[in-house]
Amino acid sequence: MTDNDTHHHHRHLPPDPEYTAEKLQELLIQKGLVDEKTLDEIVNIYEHKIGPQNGSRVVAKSWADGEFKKLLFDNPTEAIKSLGFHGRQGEHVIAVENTTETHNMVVCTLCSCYPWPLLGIPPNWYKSDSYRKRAVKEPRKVLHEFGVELKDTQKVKVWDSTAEIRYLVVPMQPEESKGLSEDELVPWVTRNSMIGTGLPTKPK
Amino acid sequence: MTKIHDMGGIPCVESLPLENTTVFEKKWHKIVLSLTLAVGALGKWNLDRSRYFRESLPPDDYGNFTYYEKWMAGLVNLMVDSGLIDQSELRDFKVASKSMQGISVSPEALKSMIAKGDPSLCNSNTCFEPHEIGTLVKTKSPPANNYLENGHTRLPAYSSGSKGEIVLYHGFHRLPDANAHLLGPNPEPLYTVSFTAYALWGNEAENPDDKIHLDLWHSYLEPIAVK
Repeated sequence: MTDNDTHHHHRHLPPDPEYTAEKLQELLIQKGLVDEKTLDEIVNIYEHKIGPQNGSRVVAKSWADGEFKKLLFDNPTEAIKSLGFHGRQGEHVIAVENTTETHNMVVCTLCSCYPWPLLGIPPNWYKSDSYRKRAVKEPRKVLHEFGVELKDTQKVKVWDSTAEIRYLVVPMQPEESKGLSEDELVPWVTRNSMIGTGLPTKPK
Repeated sequence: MTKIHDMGGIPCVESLPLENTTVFEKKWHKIVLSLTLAVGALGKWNLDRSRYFRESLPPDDYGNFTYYEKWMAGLVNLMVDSGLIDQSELRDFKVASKSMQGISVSPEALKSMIAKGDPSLCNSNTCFEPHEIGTLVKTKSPPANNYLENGHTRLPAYSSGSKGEIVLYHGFHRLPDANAHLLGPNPEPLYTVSFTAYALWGNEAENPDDKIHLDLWHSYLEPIAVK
C-alpha cells in the first residue's frame, strides 16, 4: 500500500479477537519475529513495575518536599527521572498543579496518549469514545460523573495530549493529610487524581 | 476529510465506562499489547505511523472495535505494509516465508528500549523562527496534512480555525504529518496553545472562561495581529 492511496486500509483478520490474537502470537513466534520471553517481560513490566504507584510517589514527594516540588515544576522530566521514572510514552513530561483557582484534567481526543512511566496503561474509560468526545466540550459534566465537584472559584483547564508531551496533574494536598511523611502520603494519591478526574482520598 | 478517530467535541450522551479498571481485562489484551511493542521494536515503523494505521482502519471497524482490536488490526496492516508478513500467512496462520527468521528483540534489549523511550525533541533548525510566548494565533483550517491528501495530522478538527494564545514552548519536535508517512522527522517548533471554551464552542460552552490546551506545531498556526 502507498500512503497516497486515499482509501481506507483493508481488513485482514478473522472476527474473533481472542482466537486471532493467540494464532497471531503463535505465527510471529514461529517466524522468529518475536521472542516469547520478550512478550512475557513486557506484560510483567506493565502489570507489576510500571503503574500509578509511580505517579503517586512523585506527587507524594512533591507534597512532602518543597525542593522536589520546585524541581517538578521547573524541570519535570528530570524530576521524575531522579525517582527512576522515564521512558516510553513519558519522554517529555509536564506537571500541572491544581489550585483553588484552577482544576486541570487530561485527555487525548485523537487516540489515548497517556504518561505510561508514571501511570501505566490507561484505564478503559480514558480510552473510551465517550471520554474522548466529551472531555473537551463538557469537562464539568464529565467531572460530575466522576464525583468531582469544583469550587465556584475554580476554572477548568483541559489538556488535550496532541503531541508527545505527557501531562501529570498534581492535585491539591488534602488538609487532613498535612504533616504526613512521603511514604504515608503515597496511598492518598489515586490514579484518577493524577489525570484530574478524581481527588486524593484518605486510604481505607 | 475528517476521520472517525478525530472525535473531540462530537455530541455524545453515553456515560463513561467506569466499571472495569484492571490493567488487562482479558488475556488476549496482554498478547496484543506485548506483540505491538515487541514487533514495533524491530524499527520498521515509528509511533506516528502506527497511529496513522490505527486511524486508517475501515470506519466501521474503528467504530466497532474495542481498543485492543484496533491495535491488533493496525499492527497487522503495518506488518503487511512493511513486508514482515504476507497475507497468505494471515489467512492460514502458517509460516510461508522464513526470510525474517531470528530478528526478534531480546527481553533485555526491549527493557532498555522501554526505559529509554523515543524522545520527539530534535535540534532546532533555521527553517522556523519560533513564535514568542503570548503570541495570538489562529489554527489552520481545514485541519489538513500539508504533505499528502488525507494524511496524518495532530490538529483536531474541533480546534481548527480557532483563535488561541501560545502559553508554552517546547522546542523543535518531530512533525507527525511528515514522520507518519516516512517523509522524515521535519522538526518544527511545538507549542501549547490555550483556547477559551468560548473560542472553541461559542454559546454552547459549559463555562466560556474554561480553557482547553492543545500541543500544536508551528505549521498548524498563523499568528494574528493584536488589535
